[in-house]
Amino acid sequence: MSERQQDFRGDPQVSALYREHARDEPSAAGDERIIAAARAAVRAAQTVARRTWWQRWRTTLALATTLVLTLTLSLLHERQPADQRRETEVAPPRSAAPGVSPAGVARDLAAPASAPAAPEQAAPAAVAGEAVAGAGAVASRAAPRQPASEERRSRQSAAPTTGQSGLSPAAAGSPPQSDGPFVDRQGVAAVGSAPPVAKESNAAPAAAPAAPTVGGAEHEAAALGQAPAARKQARAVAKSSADDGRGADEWLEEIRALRREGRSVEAAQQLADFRRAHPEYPLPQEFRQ
Amino acid sequence: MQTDWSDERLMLAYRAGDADAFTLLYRRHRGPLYRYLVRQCGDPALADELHQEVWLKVIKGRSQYEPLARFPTWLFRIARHRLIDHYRQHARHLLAQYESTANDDADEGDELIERLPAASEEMPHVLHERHDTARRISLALDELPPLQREVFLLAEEGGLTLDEIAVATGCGRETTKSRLRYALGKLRTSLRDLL
Repeated sequence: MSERQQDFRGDPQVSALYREHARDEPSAAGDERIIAAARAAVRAAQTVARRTWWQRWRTTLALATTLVLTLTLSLLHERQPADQRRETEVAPPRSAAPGVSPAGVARDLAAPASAPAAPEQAAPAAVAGEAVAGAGAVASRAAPRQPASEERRSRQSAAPTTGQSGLSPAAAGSPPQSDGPFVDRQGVAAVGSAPPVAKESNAAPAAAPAAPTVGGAEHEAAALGQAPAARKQARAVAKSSADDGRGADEWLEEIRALRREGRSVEAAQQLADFRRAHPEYPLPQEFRQ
Repeated sequence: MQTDWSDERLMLAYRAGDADAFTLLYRRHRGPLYRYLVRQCGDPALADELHQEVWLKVIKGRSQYEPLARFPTWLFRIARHRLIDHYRQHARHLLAQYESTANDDADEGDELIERLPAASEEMPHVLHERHDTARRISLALDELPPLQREVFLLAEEGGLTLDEIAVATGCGRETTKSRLRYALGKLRTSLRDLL
């Protein structure tokens, strides 16, 4: 006001008269509403300010963590080699029992609840089959933590390799055999009759009878009316066991060696197995004929 | 304590979360702001509504408040904008006068002031208010052209200087000075027997 009076004198009499009679006031209800709104606004702001760091960011953090975990798992899954992934999915105990017949493992996975084979059918097993079954028994004894039921299953899985793949419905209903004596008898027979598996010279002949079971396991799964997923698992096990842990180049080198030795039939059989195990592997020119 | 604080300091305290500071600020300016509004719109009920809206704008705009000008300048500027919004909706002829004079110089403003219509003496509430001095003053103010009345009320109720009124109304300083001179002259003429 003083500044206004400095640059503009105004009319003090009019101003005084006006101020003397200026008594209009807003309503009390209006006053209360305005003050209440002002206090409510302050309370709302304080409520927002009191929220802790965790309360303000927890939703964002949860979303970010979920996203990071999902991406990490996806990347890890993609970078895992395809063969290793399949093995992880199927998880066959190959390292624990290397002598177990692949077809038997496939049978285990495809039909874990299938009925045990009758003793009459297991008796006329071929010598090679006994060797494989015996190796399985030895392996089962070598793994002390393997439960008896798994031992029985691995013993039963040896039967299909001996030509017993077609289990009749009657056999499925036959009573199960006691574990102890059978395992011991088979194990002793295997140790006594089967050639040493560890010798490299005998490794190829030992693998030869197992080779037909690569496709056989799948056929068995189909014949037993198993689900496509079980057949797929059986195929994966058959493939992983057909290459026997060898690399593709190593396998081809063995086939070359067989050809050089004049064992063309075995070489052709090995090549067929190779093609089944590695269908997308580019074959060298010499094997394309 | 807070009663000695300036308006700007109280508003800053309210911005920081002190509700009592707002109460004190409100008590200081509720009357002048209400009288400015009721004199300008002529309707106590409407003035009460506008008064609440202006203060709600102050509450909402507290986080953006900076003491760049005096608090009354900011407050009455908000009130003036709210009045213009009201004129835009209900009295477009007054709005045209407000908008057309925004950038006028002093002479053009004076010419416009001479052409502004006075408040009608036949309005019922004006006839009823003629019985005492307060009513006489109110009538004299109602008879003023809106822009002259606005400048007078901003000076008397808001305590704004000529420069602050010029800023609040968006006019030049000389235009403001001229309007105030005319308003005081007319009031003196109307209230001569009371002075």
